[in-house]
Amino acid sequence: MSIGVAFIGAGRMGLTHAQTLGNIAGVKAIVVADPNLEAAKRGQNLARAERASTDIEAAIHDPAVEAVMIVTPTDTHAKLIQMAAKAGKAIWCEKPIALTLAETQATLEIVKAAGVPCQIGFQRRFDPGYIKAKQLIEDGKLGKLETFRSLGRDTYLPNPAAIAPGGGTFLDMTVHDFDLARFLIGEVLEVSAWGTVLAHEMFSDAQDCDTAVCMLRFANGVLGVVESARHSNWGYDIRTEVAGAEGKVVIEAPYKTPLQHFTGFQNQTDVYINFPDRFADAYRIQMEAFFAALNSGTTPSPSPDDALETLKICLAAKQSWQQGKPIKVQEAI
Amino acid sequence: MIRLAIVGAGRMGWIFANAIGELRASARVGYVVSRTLESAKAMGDYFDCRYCTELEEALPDVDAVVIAAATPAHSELAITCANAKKPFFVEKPIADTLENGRKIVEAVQKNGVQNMVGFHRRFDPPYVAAKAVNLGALEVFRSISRDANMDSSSLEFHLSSGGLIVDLGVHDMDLARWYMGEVLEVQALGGSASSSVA
Repeated sequence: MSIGVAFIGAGRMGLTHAQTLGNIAGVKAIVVADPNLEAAKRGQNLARAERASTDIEAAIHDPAVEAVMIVTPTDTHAKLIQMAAKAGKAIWCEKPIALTLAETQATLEIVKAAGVPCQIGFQRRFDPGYIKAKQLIEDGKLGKLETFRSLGRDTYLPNPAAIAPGGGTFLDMTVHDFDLARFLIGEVLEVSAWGTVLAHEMFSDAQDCDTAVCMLRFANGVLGVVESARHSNWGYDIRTEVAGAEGKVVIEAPYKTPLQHFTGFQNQTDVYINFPDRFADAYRIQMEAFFAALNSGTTPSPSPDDALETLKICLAAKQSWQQGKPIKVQEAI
Repeated sequence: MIRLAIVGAGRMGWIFANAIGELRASARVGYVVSRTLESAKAMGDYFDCRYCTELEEALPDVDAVVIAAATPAHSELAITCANAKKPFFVEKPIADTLENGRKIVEAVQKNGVQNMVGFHRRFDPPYVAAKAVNLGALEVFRSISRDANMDSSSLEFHLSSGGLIVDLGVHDMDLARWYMGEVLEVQALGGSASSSVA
């Protein structure tokens, strides 16, 4: 029995997810909806959906639809999640839920009241390296945890107009590392951040930073350092390390194609270009996990609560950078 | 042939003595100095050289000094060398306090004596190679140091060495200056994995 899906949002990220959806067993894409019909049709092709549409509301309320996937711009997430929840649909939504605690909290409450399953798109949790790291940590293989390090460097500069709507570096990019911090280590008590503009003035124009370093103090005593940067001339650079008394894990994809070219006393390898290739597996596995949870009646993860707690860390980091002092996560505004 | 006095017959003293042995054409260990006579004798006998408990006794018979004693002894030893116009190499950190460090700098400037501090990573081939690479405008510096096993050093060492950042982190701080330039500001978080150190 296939799960009927309404897929909302056929922009850049949307098309990546639509293609993943088109290859998942046990689901049927009923409709791909986007304000732009051409984009919706591209999404329909990739998702192998029955139809394309510009009517998002109708798509969500279609009786054949059991689950709604939301990959629209950030400022529409909360509204669409709330609409889908009230319509009794299961929800998968890209991160973040919203850029403010208030909107996120309100959305959480509506989802809880509706009692519908809801999963948020922190895909790194589903990358095979991170899955294995989590397993080793839970099995006690690292012993008592001591330090957490995570760094993320985006390859390409963003569209300048997209910086502020995305929430800026801490909310749009570092959010993944903050989610990993909670996923692998535990709750974060306090953040101390420095940010600066080194890559491009588009970030200072948007009152954002493009290079940031954050120190984290965890509730369980672990100390962390997180680093974000918004350009990379050498490729997508994503690395995480967790160290404990008995060992450490380093989650890193040092090269992309499983080939090394040796010649002239040099060794050449290639590097992952950007998130679509680096996290192709993670995008697929996270989606499979969502539908598996629906089929088995278990609670999908990560949840809106996870999104809320991670948003607090992002906001604390942003405030710490702006105010030049450490900020307690539960006091973030 | 440069005759060297090595002050300090602990872990670092022995490491330097062995390293100098590999320079057999240009330098040799002429004297071992340690406050503890037994330690001085053990090292002196092993390297077949003279030994004593006071640096002043060794100075006339050596050309230069390697200071590998505990950190709190660094400034007095370095100043003694400077005043005697003997070139010296001193292990990091230069001293246990800023004041004692400044005294060494003053003594060195007053006496015009050659001196060097033991930031050996600047001479490690990969670090040297990295320094030569052109990365364009520099953006980020990250340095990580984790010592192997705490069992190998005593509580006494931890108490006299200046602590984790002064004794181990100092290497990364030196690399920061060497690769990136002067540091304006520092924020730090610290915690304890072992109850004995806390």
